[in-house]
Amino acid sequence: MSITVLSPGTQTTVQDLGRYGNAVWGLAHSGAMDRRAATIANILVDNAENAALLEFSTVGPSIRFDQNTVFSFTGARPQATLDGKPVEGYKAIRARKGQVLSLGFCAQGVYGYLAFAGGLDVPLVMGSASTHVPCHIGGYKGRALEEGDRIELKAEVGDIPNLYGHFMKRDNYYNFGTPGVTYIRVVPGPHEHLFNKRGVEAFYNKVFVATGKADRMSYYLNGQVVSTVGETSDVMSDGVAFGSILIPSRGRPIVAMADRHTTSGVTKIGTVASIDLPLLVQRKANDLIRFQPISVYEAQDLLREQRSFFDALRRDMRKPYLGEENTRGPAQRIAELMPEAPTPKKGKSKMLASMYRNTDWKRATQGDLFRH
Amino acid sequence: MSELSISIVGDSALNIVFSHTLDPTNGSRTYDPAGARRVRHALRLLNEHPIPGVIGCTPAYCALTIYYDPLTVGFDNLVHELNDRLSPLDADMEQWESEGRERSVIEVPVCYGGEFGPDLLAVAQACNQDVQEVIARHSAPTYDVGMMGYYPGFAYLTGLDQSLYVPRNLDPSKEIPAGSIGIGGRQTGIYGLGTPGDWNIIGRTPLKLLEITNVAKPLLEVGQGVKLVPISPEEYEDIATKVAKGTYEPHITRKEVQQ
Repeated sequence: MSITVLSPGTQTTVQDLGRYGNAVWGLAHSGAMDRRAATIANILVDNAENAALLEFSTVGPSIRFDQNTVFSFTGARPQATLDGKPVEGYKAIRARKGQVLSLGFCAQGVYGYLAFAGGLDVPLVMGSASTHVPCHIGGYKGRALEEGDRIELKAEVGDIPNLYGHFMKRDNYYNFGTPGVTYIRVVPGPHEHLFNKRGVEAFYNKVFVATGKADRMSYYLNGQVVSTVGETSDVMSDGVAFGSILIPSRGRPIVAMADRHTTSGVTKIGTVASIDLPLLVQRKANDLIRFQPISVYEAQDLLREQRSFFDALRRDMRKPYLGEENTRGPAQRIAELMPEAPTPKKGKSKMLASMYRNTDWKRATQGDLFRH
Repeated sequence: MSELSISIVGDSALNIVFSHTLDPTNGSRTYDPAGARRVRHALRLLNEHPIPGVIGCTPAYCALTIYYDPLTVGFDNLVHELNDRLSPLDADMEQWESEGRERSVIEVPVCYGGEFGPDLLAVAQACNQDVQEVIARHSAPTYDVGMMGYYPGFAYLTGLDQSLYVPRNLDPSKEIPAGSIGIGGRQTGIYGLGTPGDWNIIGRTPLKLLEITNVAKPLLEVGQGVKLVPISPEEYEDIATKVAKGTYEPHITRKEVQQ
């Protein structure tokens, strides 16, 4: 069985966490632009983290369910409705055959993820479901979705155990809706030594502006010129990573994204720390960005913390959750009788809820992970 | 071999820099044939003895980029492993090369000029040569695939005749068809897939350099020899038909490695 695309949204593609091992002949790793949101969307519906899901950008798709399933959406925040009734992101939601989910315009963020229990069933290309549109490979027919497309799901899942426990409070990581400068951490190198002192200072001390010229290949910033030692910023071409910050001779940063060119002859002043890539890709035109240097060790520690956070989140999903009625007893059966997941109220019940959902204390102890 | 020269490419990649020569204008690494050979040899050694956590490599002229999963192998451990695996690099390379190994040289038919090479005339003018001379000089050397990248299947060929150095096109937005042969500055190369690019296009091959179905086997690979063979537009059509039918066999010779 399947889902049918009624309206494709903007550049909606099938993605997973990427296709590896082909950079030797020039194929980029592709995969979700915001791996944090994609991973959480899959965890929320009990999927493997690498399960195939939909990535949409600014305007989400409308789809009809041709079967029963459970879905979740994360990342950018669309004005979503299921059969005309508003639905929220960051939770598992049951969909019945024939229902229509409309994701619509995202007032906040850029990339959103829509995951289905069991995952999308598309042929793997070199081990991955990711769509690489420039090469016309992967995903659904190697392209962005179009009206009328029908995509198979791997399983017909009417329900998942402890459905109402499968939610996460808004992911504060993104700091959506808070005006001001977003700090993006950067691991310096490989070519920092090819920039003069003024260039390096400009890069880390000045505020850059997201131009809105951004896609799955590259993300363009405007602002102070970042000057190099030499006249031009040409180097012998070398490898480019997801997050490599290229400074061309015109002097403004371009950040390489998931579908990037695998090599470039432009100087690379640093690489965005993987932990902050989701933060960067979710910035819209005119958002302000400032870069902060951190060591490769700090950047890798942050990824380990994120790993523990994902593991804790998955464990959390499995705990019976009843909000105020926080009894373990016949939790699941009671949960099934409830029409909607209860929203924790302020005060005592909130405290109870936070004891139960360790994402909250995680937030306190993993300060750096959620720092802005 | 002494400690590897490592530069950091974020938390999930690093470069092993093999070139020892510097560009005096900005201090960047420049092409150094010995360095380029080390890159390829290191790639070979790492393919033979993979390191857990390494998820891919991009060989370039001066450096080998290693992509890795930092949750499987942290930076220090990876650097340690790389030093360990690549410590016999120089000795191993010398021995490997002294054994008089052969390498394959693939003949790539190219139709120069006309609709296939719209920039051929401009290149000839820029080089102060006539068109026939450009074709003769461009197809004379046996090139090496120095690296593949930029775009899937794009092969950078080393060994371009110095008289053919032509600056890149100013307009990089032009869509260039798959199989096109171009000159960009001091380099020449073949576009594996159609893509915008800024090189001067002087010809095109009817061969399919890259076909991606559920697996991909690029026709060329890093380190391979390439001999360009000029053909007429009629021959181009003939070979293109055979390629489409799957009946064309590229001509591959084996030559002793000359370093």
